[in-house]
Amino acid sequence: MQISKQKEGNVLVVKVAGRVDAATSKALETEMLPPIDNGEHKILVDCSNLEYISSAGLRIFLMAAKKLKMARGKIVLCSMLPPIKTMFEIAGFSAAFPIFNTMEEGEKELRKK
Amino acid sequence: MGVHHKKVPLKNKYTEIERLQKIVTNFCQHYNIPAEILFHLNVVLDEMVTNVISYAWCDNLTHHFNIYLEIKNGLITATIEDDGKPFNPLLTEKVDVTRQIEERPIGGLGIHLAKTMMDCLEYKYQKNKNILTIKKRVKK
Repeated sequence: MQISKQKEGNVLVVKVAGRVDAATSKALETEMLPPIDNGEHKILVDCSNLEYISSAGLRIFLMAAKKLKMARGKIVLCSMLPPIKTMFEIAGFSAAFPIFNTMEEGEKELRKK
Repeated sequence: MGVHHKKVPLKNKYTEIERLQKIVTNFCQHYNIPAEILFHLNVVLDEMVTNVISYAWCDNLTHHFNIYLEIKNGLITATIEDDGKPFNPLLTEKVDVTRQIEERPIGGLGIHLAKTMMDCLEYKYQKNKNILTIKKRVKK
């Protein structure tokens, strides 16, 4: 798994690539959750190179969504491969995570008031 | 179609999951299992093996356990056998996917995925072993 983060205006863009399973989910947790506690409340996740996710990874996204709900923030996921999208759907996360085909659409959603 | 078997010995390390999935992928592709079925099988094996690695043993020692794969009459069966403490993962509380995000518990997702993606899950404790069997029918 590789993670990179970049600030664009008031949006934190997080690029998650490779495999997120029990072997790597701790690293995702360490990279994604503390910034939310430190005030990042608009998060755009680029999933274009996310190849695999198990419940260990889905759990980190759930934790992020819970934190953002409390903070009245928002997380948006973009450019998912079909199998990854299937995982979010079966987990029942589709309502909590708006999923967009492109980063542009996702960014537009985050910029909405 | 015939009967095909494969035994995969594993250690209780999370890095074994990816190695297992590569072995399962090679095995299934060799017998022309469709990609979607293989994807579901790999996810559920990950979930069940992650459970074993996380909870079966309380010490910090290396433990070994086995997965037995079988393809027979259009049915894929995977049996996970470990000698850790008795634990039936099928008895965990059902996940309600319709609940609001703030009310969703963090746990229970793995078994929810397994129940959704497989056709059959069975657990028994026999001869000091947890024996979990998962079955997936290959679409005709």
